[in-house]
Amino acid sequence: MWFQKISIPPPFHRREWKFQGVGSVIGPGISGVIGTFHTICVALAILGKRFGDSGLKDIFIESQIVADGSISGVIDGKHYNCGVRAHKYLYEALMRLAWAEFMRRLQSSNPNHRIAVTSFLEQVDTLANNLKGESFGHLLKCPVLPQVMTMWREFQNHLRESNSELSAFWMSYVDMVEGIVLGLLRASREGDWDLHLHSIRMMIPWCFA
Amino acid sequence: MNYSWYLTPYFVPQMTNLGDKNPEVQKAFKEGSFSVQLASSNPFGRIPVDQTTEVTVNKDTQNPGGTTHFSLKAATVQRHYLTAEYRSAFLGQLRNMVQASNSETQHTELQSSRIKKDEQAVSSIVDLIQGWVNPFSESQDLISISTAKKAPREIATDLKTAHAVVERYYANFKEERMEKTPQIRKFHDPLKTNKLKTFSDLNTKKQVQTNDQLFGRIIVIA
Repeated sequence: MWFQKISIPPPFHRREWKFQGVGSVIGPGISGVIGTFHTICVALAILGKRFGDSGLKDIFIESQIVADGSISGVIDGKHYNCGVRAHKYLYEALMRLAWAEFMRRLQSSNPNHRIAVTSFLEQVDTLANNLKGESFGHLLKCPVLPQVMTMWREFQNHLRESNSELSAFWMSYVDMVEGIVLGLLRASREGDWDLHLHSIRMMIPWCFA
Repeated sequence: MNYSWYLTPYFVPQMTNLGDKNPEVQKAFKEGSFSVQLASSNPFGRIPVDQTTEVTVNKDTQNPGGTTHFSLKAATVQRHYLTAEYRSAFLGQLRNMVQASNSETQHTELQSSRIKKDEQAVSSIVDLIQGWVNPFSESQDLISISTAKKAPREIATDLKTAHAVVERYYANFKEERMEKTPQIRKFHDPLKTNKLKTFSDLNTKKQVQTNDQLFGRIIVIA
């Protein structure tokens, strides 16, 4: 049976799919699935609903990323380009804040850890000054990399589980943006089917909220 | 909520069992044939199939008055639709010929002006959050970052346990409507909304029941 992935524009999709059910056969040998672009729009709406009033809206407006008039579109997932960009910015900003906190706590920890991170950062600087595939491969082989990655992962888990309720809440934002929105985007860009399925799996439960 | 109906069957029976039923389709998807490359010389540039129709056919079909309401005659609209994809393709070729489209150039994100703008935006958010409440600093209750309003207990519990709750709902949905034979519920049976509380519920205003007596009393007090 030949399988065709089709996407139906919104005015039709609501009517047709209610009766047929998505995933059911809607014609001889044709199955319908919802397209990735509209899935990402829904993911944006889910993010907007969960985090909108906990500061997300105010951050977007006050930092002048999103204009006053378009904020509701961004929160509802209607303004795709603007929404994706705004979430990328906030994701990046939160990761920077987390990294700053990681560095701050490193000061009072084991000196060996401090040395490992400092030497790793020096190598990153070298890469930044001389951006080549070769020096990137060199960085990946660097002996302190696994240690630094483990420490960073442990710190993230600490923020998720044992730091405070607020950090756990905003780490869930980071995880959702990274796992769902950026995951779906990357999967489409690179044509990575397994990543696509993984991101969809992460997203489904949130549709029940 | 509706998307739980759409996405679950998409993911569960169709895509996970794709290899058994339609191996050739799975092979095509694994090779990346589920997204579209519009410009040939643009790396990391594939976009989803439905986005492609949005930015090509749908965009080119837009008229003043929307895509369908430009004429009251059904036949005209139908004719317009039947030829939409060809018109769109011709328009695309015309744009390429006069080089009005910039789809062949590099990503806008890599232009130096855009990098500067992005950096500015991110650092302005970082400054802003540091000025308000940094969620990753020392222990803090669940408060709104901007207003520092504390979430009441029920909202805080809902926000904290949301993921576990929705995972449980998903597992139930899958089991009751799709996996068990015979089905416990029909697939399209009504689905109760969860209504997990968020910070938005802090702002809901309570409606005050008003009647003539109340206004009367206000006047007397005044």
